[in-house]
Amino acid sequence: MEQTAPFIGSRPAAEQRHWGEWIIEKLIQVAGLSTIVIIGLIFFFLLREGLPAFFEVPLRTLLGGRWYPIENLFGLWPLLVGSLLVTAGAILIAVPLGLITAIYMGEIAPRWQREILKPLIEMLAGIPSIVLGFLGWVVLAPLIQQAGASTGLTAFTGSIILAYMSLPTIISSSEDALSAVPTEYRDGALAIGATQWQTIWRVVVPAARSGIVIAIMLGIGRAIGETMAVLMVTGNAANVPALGLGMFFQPVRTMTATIAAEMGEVANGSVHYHTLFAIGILLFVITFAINSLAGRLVGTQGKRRRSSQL
Amino acid sequence: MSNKIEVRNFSFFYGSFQALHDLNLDIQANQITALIGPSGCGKSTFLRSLNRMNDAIPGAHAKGEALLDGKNIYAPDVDVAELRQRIGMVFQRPNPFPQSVYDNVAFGPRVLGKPKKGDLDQLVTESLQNAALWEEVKDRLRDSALELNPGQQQRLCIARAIAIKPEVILMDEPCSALDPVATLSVEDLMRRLAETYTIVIVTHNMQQAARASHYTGFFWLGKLVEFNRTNELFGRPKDPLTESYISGRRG
Ligand SMILES: Nc1ncnc2c1ncn2[C@@H]1O[C@H](COP(=O)(O)OP(=O)(O)O)[C@@H](O)[C@H]1O
Ligand SMILES: [Mg+2]
Repeated sequence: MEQTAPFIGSRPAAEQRHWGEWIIEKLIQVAGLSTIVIIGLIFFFLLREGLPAFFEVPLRTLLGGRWYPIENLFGLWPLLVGSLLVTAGAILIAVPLGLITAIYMGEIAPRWQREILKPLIEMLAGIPSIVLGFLGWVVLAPLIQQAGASTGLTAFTGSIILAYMSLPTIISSSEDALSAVPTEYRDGALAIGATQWQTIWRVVVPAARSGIVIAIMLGIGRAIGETMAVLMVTGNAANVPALGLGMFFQPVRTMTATIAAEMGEVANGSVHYHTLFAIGILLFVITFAINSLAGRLVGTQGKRRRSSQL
Repeated sequence: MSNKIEVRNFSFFYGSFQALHDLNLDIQANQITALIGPSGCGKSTFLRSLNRMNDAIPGAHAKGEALLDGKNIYAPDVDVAELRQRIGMVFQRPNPFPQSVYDNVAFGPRVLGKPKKGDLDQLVTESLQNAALWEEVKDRLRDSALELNPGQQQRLCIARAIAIKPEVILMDEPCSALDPVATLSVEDLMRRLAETYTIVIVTHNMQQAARASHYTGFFWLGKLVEFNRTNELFGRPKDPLTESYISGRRG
């Protein structure tokens, strides 16, 4: 408020305050509205560039299993499967590992270990994803190839990298959720003869459930939109792997990696170009669905908790 | 009349701070023993040391003996979880788990093993009946325990504690968060439970001790000043400190 004073000079104090308030109010309004407008524009642009693909490419081709842009084959199926495989693998690795680590840190580890672990995990969160991708390429891929896969660049390699990318989020958010559980619950279980594990597993974790669900969703959110690291380590083959455990050990290509890799070379306005944007729409829809599902889950649990406090 | 717990030269320390000084008392089986005394005199410390709930506090340690049926609670070969299955505890603030009424009571039996569904139903019903809560919750077994009122929650915690059929129940000011009506119903319940269990209750409410207990111990600054039958202790206190405390001149 002081800063606006020189411009207004001799006006009475009350009016100055009035003006200052008006300016701030308008600034906030403009900032807020511009965010909405920009999001709207992004969405509009995405639709404008992506929707034509659905008319230019026959639906049969879009739903088909072959992604060969040179031959005008734009099957999205392999890319979708690639993304799902990599993300599902990441979730299967990150959720149990993250939850167990959070439980260890929050409930079992002595104080001094906690004080070492916490900053370490924050540091893991600070590693740029491209560095993780690089490590995946140089260290992890050769290991996986040695273990018997035909190549080291597989869906599984991508899953591990993505899992480690989402672990810090999952760990620290779940640990927050666990530490928010009142000590009284633990005491209540211990005092009638439950062991520490039984207490954690049957009382503390269920009581922290909604927070843990949020933590997992946040972690998945980070994994599904990740591009570059995945591009580096998944082998970039737009195949639909045969069903079975082996599909994790074949090269795949995700939706995000496809856009990142091919955007630079397409002709503006071509069918290929429109299809890449259509992939963007698909990603948007999936992410939106996950977010609203998470919101729904958390929302109902919050409501339940509120009503039970009455 | 037999001694369920015998406390011999028992002291308790939080690090270098001595919270309990050389206690000696016998807790009789199937009787209600009340512990009274001003705030901070060590009642909770004593109660919690009987089922080793203080074990987790860094630096806390005990000296002397507390014998449950002749066996030292602090002997190195004692399994603490097993000990607590024999000596259960109910806390000052009702602390039902954020689960259903049924699951709260079934918690202990499930922890102990894998009871059959029919047996478990039976056990939950019995425990709720013995805790004088059955009539109020029999149609709400699947509702969250947090939806019960505080008096019901405390009786639920008692039901949860008796579902594993302990021998001793420790209660740390179980009525202090309850209104007078709920308090009387918990006291009533205690008297009936004493037929089956040995009960030790901490209370800062002297009327409650006088009303509801058979034996009373008076604590002062970590020492047990006087321990006697309740009517003796309140009727003819031997120690002048006890007398002035129960007549309300101190504390
Ligand atoms: N966890 C603890 N660490 C250190 N001192 C404690 C702890 N708990 C209680 N004390 C101390 O022990 C003494 C007895 O406390 P407490 O047993 O809670 O008394 P009461 O239940 O009679 O009010 C008090 O001086 C208290 O400050
Ligand atoms: Mg106390």
